[in-house]
Amino acid sequence: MQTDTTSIVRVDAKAKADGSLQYSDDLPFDGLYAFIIRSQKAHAKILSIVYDENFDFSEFTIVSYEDIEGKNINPIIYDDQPFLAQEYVKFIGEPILLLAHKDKTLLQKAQKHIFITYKELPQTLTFQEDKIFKRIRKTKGEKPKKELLTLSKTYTTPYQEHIYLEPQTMVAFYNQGEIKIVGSMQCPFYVEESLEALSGKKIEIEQAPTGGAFGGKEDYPSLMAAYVYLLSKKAKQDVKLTLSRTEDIAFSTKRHPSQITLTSQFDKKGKLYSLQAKILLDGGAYATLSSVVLTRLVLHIAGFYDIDYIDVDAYAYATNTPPNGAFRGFGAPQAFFALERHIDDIAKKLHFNPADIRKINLPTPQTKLLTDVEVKEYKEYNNLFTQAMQQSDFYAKYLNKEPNKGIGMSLFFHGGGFVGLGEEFLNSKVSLYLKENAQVEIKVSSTEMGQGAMTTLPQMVAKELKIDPSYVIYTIPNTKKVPNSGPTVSSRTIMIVGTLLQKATKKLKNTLGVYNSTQEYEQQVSIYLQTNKTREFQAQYQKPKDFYWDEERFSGYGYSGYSLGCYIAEVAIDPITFQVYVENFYAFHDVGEVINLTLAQGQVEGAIAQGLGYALLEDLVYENAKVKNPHISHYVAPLASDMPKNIKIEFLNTQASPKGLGELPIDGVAPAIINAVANALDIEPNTIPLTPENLEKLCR
Amino acid sequence: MQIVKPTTLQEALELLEKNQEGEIFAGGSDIIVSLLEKKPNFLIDITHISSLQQIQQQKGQLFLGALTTINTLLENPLIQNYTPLLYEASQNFASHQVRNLATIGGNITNNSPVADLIAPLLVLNTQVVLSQKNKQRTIPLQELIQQYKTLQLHQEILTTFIVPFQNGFHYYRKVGMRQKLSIAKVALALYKTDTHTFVSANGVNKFVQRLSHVETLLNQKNFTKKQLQEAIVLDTNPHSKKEYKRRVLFNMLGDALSLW
Amino acid sequence: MQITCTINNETKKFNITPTQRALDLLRENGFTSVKEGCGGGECGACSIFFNDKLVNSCLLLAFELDGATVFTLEGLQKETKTLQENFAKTGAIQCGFCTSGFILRSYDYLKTTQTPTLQEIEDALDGNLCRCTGYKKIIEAITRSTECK
Repeated sequence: MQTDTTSIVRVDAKAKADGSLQYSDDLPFDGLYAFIIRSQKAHAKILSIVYDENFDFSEFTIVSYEDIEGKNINPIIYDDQPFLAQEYVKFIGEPILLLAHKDKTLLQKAQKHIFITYKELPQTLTFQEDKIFKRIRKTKGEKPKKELLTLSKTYTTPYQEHIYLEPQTMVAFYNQGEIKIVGSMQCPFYVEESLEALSGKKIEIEQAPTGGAFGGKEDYPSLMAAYVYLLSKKAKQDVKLTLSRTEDIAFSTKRHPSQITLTSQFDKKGKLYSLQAKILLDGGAYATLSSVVLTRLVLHIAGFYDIDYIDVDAYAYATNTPPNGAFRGFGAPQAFFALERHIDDIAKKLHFNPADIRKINLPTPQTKLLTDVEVKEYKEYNNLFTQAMQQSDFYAKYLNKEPNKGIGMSLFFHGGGFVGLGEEFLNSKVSLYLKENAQVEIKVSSTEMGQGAMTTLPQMVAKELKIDPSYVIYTIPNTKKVPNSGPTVSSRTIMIVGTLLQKATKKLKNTLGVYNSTQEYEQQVSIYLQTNKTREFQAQYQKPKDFYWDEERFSGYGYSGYSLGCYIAEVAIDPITFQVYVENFYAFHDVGEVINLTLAQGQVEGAIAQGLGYALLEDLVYENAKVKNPHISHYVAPLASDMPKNIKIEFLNTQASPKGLGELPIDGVAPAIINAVANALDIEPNTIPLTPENLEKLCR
Repeated sequence: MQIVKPTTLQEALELLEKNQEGEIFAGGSDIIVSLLEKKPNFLIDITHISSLQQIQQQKGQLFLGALTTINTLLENPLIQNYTPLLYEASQNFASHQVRNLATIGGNITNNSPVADLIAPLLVLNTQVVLSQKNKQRTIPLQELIQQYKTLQLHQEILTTFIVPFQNGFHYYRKVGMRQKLSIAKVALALYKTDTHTFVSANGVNKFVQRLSHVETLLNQKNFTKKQLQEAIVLDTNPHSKKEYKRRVLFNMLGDALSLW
Repeated sequence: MQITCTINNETKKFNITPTQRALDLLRENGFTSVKEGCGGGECGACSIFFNDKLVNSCLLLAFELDGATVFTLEGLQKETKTLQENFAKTGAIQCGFCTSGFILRSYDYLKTTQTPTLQEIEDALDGNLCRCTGYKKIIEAITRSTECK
């Protein structure tokens, strides 16, 4: 057992604990409140918008697409999403108009006096081959010729809503014609890009303390920012937009629901020879991030298993529902639910221990993935599996099964950073600023949203400089004050941005000469500052030497590094009510060096909660193209009493260079839990959430 | 909107008689959203009437003021000692913070099909006291629960619940969407004395009521599993599909039977 | 209409509208540790002490504060110092939005017991939602705060 020297208290702990930290809605504000008038139809042509003559709109600021000076397109990948509906609406809830008024209570009232008429058009709510955003078709290897057993099953996963505790909030501060945007967000430069498209200008964007995000504040804040910007510009006043929880649940981005059919071929020992995957991902009305979610899903769907023939046909398709978006995991939770349930289904068919099916298919040096490359981490993966099985005592527990109790596992990974050439495209830049008092300021666009970036990034720099982290200050991301080190997504913050910071730090360190104590460090800085003008030390992303990716042939490394995970869940089912209790949970990881152990554990525990919710509790039901019951009383997230009684967390291989941890943990939770339920009751659940009702159906 | 805060029941009843369109305000934690939408002209805030918040016992009965909060029920040993079924049901009621605001009267008068306290109070043969200016009547709770959602109490205020001390076996089990702070999917309340078994459940009908067919069966000497299943169907809106809830009720009843 | 109440031991007079929520009144008057997470009494981020009882201020109307005694985290800094330190030390804070609600509830709960079991703490936290931490470190912080007293 190593002693933990990494767990310094997070730098923003005090202000959060004493309640003084100001989030977007806490900032002093004396302006107008914004409100979105949304489409009531899933697919329609807007025929007319009429304002009730008998209602006084004179004090309202009203904005429509006509007020957009630049382009009415939010720039994300396929550029198909308008900021405001123009001629057509494509989902219930699509923003059409924006209102602002000093008195919040009048906004709801005004809505009732705006009459929009529509000509309804046919709705698309299921997969249609002529309405797709992206298709990925790739085959690797040769179809097996020998006679084999086969199993084909379809797995489905639902929407998931982030329920960040702080609802979406954005403020536009107006100052003599200049507008500054402050708000809850993950990616200030995404917002800058969107507003530049909207207005033709680079607007100053600053992240305010953000009360949770999980991907839900990756692209949606760009819309929020566009709306307050437009209103602020027209009204020449400060404008604030906050979504109510109900509005947020109903209309903001969600995890993509998936339907994955896996057809595998294997011998009677369970050795896989072929895996075919047909993947359907519902993107909602506009493409936004769907193509990338699909790509990540495809790159994770076959795991790291040694399979000769892999054949994938994957679609992200359009429906007349609110666009889906990023949510921690970003396609990998969907992929591993299907894959890891399938492995257990194969085990069941063969009457084998599910761990043995995984064991016999672990990657070797010869294993080739769907994208034609080797598994660089095959050794670490094998080791992780062995350690996890040993420390959790999986085999013995599997044999000693009790009635209504079960054990299940999942083996998984998460590619860090942007896929393929994405990191090259981002071309991230970081900068360090050396101050007179020997403090070092970090300038990156990585945002703190609870995961601890404003603590761990300084820790990485401090470690490199061999000084106390208190000397390293993280600068609040403001697009006018920091370089663009890319968005805070994709588990790239430590792995990509942190590594770049280490590079920049090395440059700084090299200029300082030798020092062996903090005092000496300060002396060296003093000497340096007397004779040198350069205060800023930068580093820019460079593609790793042996990394290649061919998008057209879907071939290459996918990601430059992979975090690895193996989870085991022990469950008990109440035979009276069909409720599932997760009693013990073992979480094994290889993410290389752990920068801050307490924060890392927090990431795992939080992800276990979200994954447990995904598996058992969170049921976002759509009916007639909209969320049936968008209330937090009906979409229930786990409370303390829903958590596994015992959670054991281990990090292996902590000498290796650090890889991402933000998303990895959520990828493996649902399959481990559902596999445990399958084991407990000898059933084959292929859908989540496995609510008591859904479980009861399987037990008839 | 005008708000008045009577400090005695008499005051409140007089105000109610004088102002026909007045709405009673008892905290409203269950109905705050709809209340704000309704925008009544005249609100009679009865939360300052201390006589409505008392818990007393007399001659083998508990007298619970309608404005007793759920946490007050949990904190008063009389409830735990004499009406433990009500105590158990209160433990699974919403959350700690809500239990400090929610009242037993509010839960009953909101009359939700998933209300937590109606089923236990019904099987305990609770009576309610309804007051008007110069008039008071006491009727079984059962009679009050006639309509779906929010009882129209006209010009009456529900002031007191009269709950006889328990003298027998009870069973309570609630299944929600998660372990705590959840609207009920279904909950079973059962109370068995020497002479009779009383059964009620929420989540299975338009308004919470006693399960009469199940009761009839349980009060017989013998019955089969099939008969019990059929009785459950008859008592839970037979034309609707409710396989999960019916199966869970069946399981819970079996659990209760095995325990008594 | 005008109301008078005591907030954190200070007498305050406010002009309010009948349908205003207590949550909004508090936040508009600088008590921003009281957060709106859901508006429906489900998350506990808006918890306040109202006449010594911890309640969701989103379920209280402002006029109900008339004559009442209110405490927010701003006014309980000394009383919650140990809890705050333990929340910080154990990693019980991530995004921090739920933290003031949890600190108040923990303070409220620890008034009733110094030897809670894990189950009892979990049950006590039935009105506080956290989406970041998974609750384990929050429970650890609460347990530590009993030992420290």
